[in-house]
Amino acid sequence: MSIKDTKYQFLIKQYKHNIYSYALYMLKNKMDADDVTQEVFIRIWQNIGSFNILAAKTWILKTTHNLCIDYLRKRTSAMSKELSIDDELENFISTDKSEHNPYLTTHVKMMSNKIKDTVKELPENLRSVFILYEIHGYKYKEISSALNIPINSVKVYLLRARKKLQEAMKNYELQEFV
Amino acid sequence: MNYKNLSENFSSNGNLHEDLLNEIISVAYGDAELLTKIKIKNLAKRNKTVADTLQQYVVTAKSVSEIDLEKCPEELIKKVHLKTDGKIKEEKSFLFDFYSVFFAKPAISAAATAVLVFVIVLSSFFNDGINTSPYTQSELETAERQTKEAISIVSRIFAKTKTTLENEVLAQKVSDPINRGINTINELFIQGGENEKVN
Repeated sequence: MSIKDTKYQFLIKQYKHNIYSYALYMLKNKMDADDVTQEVFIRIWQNIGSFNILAAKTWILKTTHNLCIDYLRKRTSAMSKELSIDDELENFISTDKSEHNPYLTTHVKMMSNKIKDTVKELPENLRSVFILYEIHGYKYKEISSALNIPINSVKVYLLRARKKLQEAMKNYELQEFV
Repeated sequence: MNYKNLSENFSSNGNLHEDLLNEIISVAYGDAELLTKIKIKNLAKRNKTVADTLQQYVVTAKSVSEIDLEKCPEELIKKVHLKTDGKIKEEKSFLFDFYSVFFAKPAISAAATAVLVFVIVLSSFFNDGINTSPYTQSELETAERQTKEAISIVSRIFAKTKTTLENEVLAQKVSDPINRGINTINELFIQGGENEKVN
């Protein structure tokens, strides 16, 4: 096993879920997320010799983000024909969560699903920052360099996303109550 | 922002000021500074609107924090391997383990290395303490003095031996007999020469 293979295997092991999860939230479509994930894996393999492994995290995030943006831009009216994330993700989440979190209550599940739905409906710039910070756990600086935006913009987008999410959750709870 | 005068934290329509709301959100999501956390929590104790807003954001933040990353299907990795015509090797090696240990958690690796270095330095420091001489300073000085004296005695003996060897042994016991032997031989040669002349 060469050093190139080793580096590739290591990076895939480290970041495969991050890449896939980010693509899935950004594109709201499993098939597109699959395509983007594979494309990122191939690019990692092609560029494995040219980047520092310690700086790979930002490079991978930037590549994934750029590919997602390309996919979003390419989307046309054919979007309605695509497989909705809802059905795929609902099944995926329900089986996965129940296996790993047996104590998860229905209410929390519903809240969690509602939050996921709301996150998917956020504007693209707010969505990417929110996903990376809240779900992936990246730092402001990492998000800033990956998305090529100032750190202050990252903070502002995050705050706006949190407020929008809160508004949506408030409306949801009111509906539930009624 | 003035936290003592509560009315200043609300706009004319009774809503929270934007800055205060931002701070409440930061506190709820756990990324506010300690001072802000204390201030907001104190404010929440005195004001129901602040308390309710904080509580609502805390509930949402908690739900957000429970969202996990979506798992990447393994078949995607296999598909990529097929697309690269099997150029990517899958088997694990020592090098992979090395990468996993040192690059996956660089902070932990650095901390472990630092602890290791610290333990080595500490152990060498304590070993130095154990290996120190059991003698006191005065004992060492006495020993040094005695050694010097012993060496000077030996030195004197050597000097005396050298003098004896040169003056007595070499001169009397070696040189004199050799000189006498040479003189005897000379005399014999002279006598022999005189006898030849007579004949």
